[in-house]
Amino acid sequence: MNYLKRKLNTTEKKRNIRLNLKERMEITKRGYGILAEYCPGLVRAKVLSAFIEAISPFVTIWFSARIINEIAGFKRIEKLIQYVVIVILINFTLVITKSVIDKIIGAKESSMWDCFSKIFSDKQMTIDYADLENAEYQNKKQITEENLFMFGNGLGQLVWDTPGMVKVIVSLIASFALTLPLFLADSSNKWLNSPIWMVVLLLMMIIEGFINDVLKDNEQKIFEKWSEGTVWFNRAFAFYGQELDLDYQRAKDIRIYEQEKVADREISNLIIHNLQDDNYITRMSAYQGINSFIAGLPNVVCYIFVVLKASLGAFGVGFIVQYVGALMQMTKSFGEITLANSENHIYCEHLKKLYEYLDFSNTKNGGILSVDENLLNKKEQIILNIEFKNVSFKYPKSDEYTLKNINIKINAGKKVL
Amino acid sequence: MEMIDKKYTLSQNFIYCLKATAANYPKLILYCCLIIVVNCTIPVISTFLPKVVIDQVTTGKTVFSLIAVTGIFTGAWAVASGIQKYLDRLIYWHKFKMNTYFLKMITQKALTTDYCNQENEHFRNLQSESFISCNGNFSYYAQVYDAIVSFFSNILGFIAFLGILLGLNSFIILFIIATTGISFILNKRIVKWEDANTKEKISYMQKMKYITKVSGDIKAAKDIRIFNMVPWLNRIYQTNMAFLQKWYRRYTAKLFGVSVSDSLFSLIREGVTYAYLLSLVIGDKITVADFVLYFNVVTGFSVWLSSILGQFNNLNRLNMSINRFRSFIEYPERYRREDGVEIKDRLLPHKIELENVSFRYNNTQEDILKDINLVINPYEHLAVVGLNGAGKTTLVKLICGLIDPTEGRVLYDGVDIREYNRKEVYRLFGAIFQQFSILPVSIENIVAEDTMDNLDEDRVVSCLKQADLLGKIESLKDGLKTKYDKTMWDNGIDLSGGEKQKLLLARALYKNTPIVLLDEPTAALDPLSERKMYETYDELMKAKSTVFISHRLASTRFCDRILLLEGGKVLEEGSHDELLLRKGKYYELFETQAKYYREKKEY
Repeated sequence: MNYLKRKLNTTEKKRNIRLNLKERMEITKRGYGILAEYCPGLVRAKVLSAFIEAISPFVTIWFSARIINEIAGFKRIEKLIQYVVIVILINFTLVITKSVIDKIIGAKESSMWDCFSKIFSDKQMTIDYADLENAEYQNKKQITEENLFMFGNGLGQLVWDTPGMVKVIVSLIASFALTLPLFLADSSNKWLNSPIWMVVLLLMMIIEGFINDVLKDNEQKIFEKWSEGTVWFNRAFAFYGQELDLDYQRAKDIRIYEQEKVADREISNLIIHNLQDDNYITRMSAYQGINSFIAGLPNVVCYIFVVLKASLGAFGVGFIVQYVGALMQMTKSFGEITLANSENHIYCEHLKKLYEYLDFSNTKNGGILSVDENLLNKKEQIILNIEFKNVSFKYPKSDEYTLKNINIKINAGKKVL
Repeated sequence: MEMIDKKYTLSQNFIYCLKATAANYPKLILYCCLIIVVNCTIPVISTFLPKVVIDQVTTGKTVFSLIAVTGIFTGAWAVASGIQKYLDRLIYWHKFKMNTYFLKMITQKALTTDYCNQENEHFRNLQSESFISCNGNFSYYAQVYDAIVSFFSNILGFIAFLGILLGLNSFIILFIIATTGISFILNKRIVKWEDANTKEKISYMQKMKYITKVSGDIKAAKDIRIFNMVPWLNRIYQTNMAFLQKWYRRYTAKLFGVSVSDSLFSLIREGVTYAYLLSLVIGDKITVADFVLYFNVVTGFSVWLSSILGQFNNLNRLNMSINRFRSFIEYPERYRREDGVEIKDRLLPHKIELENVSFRYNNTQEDILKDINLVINPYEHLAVVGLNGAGKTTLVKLICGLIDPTEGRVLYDGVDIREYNRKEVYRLFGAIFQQFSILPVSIENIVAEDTMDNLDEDRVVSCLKQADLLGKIESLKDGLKTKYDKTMWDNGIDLSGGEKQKLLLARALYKNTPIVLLDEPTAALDPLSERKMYETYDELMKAKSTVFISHRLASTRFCDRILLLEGGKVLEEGSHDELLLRKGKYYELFETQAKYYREKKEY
């Protein structure tokens, strides 16, 4: 029964994915737009750093293969010196660039949360005052803020997951380029030379990626179930650890009424809640552990395949290093495609909720008449008459009118209590 | 008093954390030990794998042997990876639990520490840092576990690779250590330079942070709209943002310059390693497979080494924050907490006496209270009036022992308060302060302010009734068990200002203390509720001594004696009628207020 439910969920999700790919791209685009406005330069830096990180191993692999081939073969010293000098210089440049960019990223990322706060402040400032006091708006604000600042959902995830996406794309392209010659090389064994192996290995990686996806999905489900109890936990933690302790206005009452007893009890509840988490944690960790193990299995096959082909004369010893290295990167990337995709799915959903908050009642109640320009420009104090004609008011969610049919006139210059 | 922060060493703090973990989640220690071993095993496997494989190929072993050896190594690698990930996740989630344990320690300290410590800026800094060190995913305490696992993994790996390299050549080891060390020292130069140059950045960020806070403040919302402040606020923000971006550009350029010169050493190291190993393999001193092995080992070795050196910075930083934490927890307390003279007849009010009492805060020149002499007899109802800043709240804080006088003595039942156990002293007092604390728990728990086992529900009900709040509470769905505070509980409630004051009154009544202190207890009540309270005041406070602070002179009429404070001194003292007759300052203040309530004809 559970298996059936899970299958339905996966199918539903797939249907959603196919339907919403365009929507997800728009959402992601808007997300990057917001990041560019409020945290300029952060995403750019992360992309560059990820690119360097992805390309570096391939540089090493490519040059190592040729150097090893050379020392196993002709041992031409000029050639070797050439390779060594070039690879050292390239690595040097990449390392320095990355370390500088990483420092920048570190600085910008730590102030990221302040930039996010500005997004909410801007909304607070520009929304109509009537909506400001709207309980629905305030509720949405609190939920959206908690979602972002407690868990990093939405914008936070977009920032953290972008490097992964870049790395996957770069890795795939590079590893494919470096692996292709493997299948085109001929060994002394007909079976091994058949191009069918390309399909076999590819299929193996895709299946591994799929299993990866399923296991991650399961882990996510457990995490969501666990998180349901976490919001209260985080609120209580913030209150008993921060507000209660640091709000000095509370200090007198705290001592006179021995409030530390109640605080102690509530925190003990938090600790008990922690203990109940063990089950969730063990299961989530197990999924990831199994995932890592299964991710290592295609490597076994790849390695054996490459080694066999090499021992049967298809290519030099150095290329073993290249093909094995590239294949391992490819396997890793396949596993991460589905991860990048599901991450995208997750943060798009959160971003959608953020946009609902940001787009809350953007209509401005504007009248056509403007106040007389002359009155506004005069430097002296201008006093006008204010009149209430049959004014009633009630808050959107309540049933009772707070003000009923008010008729008053406040004449110029008078002070009314 | 000079506050000396605790300065424990790295190993002392390590043992402190170890003990804390063992007491709460001992499994965490086991996981950490296991993962350290696995962290070292995997690189060893992956480093030997290419060598083994190349050996098999170049020495022409059988197909079976090839497949078997390759399979075993790669299989072991996969298994080890799985175990590593499992342990890594376990540790990741479990380490956050320690945050709660440290939170408990912090809260206990913060809530029971001497009241006067709050006014100490150093103490306040320690306190807010301590919360940061155990809050959230990047808390210092969470980082401690990561740092320790990294450190020991690196050490173990370092030793393993050292063993392998010893078989090659000891000089290369020394060379690597030397170059890595120099690189590291040069790198520290960059960090120092970074720290010195971030002041400008921080100043821009602080301004931006302030604008953000002010813009989002719901209390400022009306003003922002009426005075059209949005463009102005945004302009300030954008200007600072532009300055910040310029700073980043300059900073990046400088970093490049500094990094190039300092990374030259790694370039040299790589070049020398290549040259040395190539010369060995070309001279047939080592096989191709060994070349691959040693090259990987040398690379790994210097990585381990620079990680270890890098860890020291991290460990020092964490060490400092643990020291700050322990300084906070172990901060000395001045008030007497144990022993102390026993308070006799603690249910009945006794004489309170202030003898030549003066008080000033640590960092001020002026006395807030100057040479006060005051006696409050049992069952007396005293009113304290005066303008803002006259010292009324300070007087009340002195009476109940929240603060101690700078000169003179405060006596209860003839004994200096400092001789008693301070906690017992607090138990004598009930209070309604202007700055109060209501916890987000159930209404009955707020009134009883006690652990749930001791709660007397009937008494809660009767106190709420006396405070005129019972009707409101009973109208709620969950009645007494309703949770207070909407931001904490989704189904919680909030109370209006007046309702909160009634709740505070109910709490004070429940505590049933011989002495009650009231600081503007009716400020938020509407006139009708206020009058009701005055009418029942005598009845409620019959068997108690009370001190009533108020701006509204009308409320002082039912007190036995009135104290008029001005500039820290008692200006006038007497009953309401006596003071009016005197036609002094009190008369003046009274007339100022009463004037507007009287009939027009008296103008």
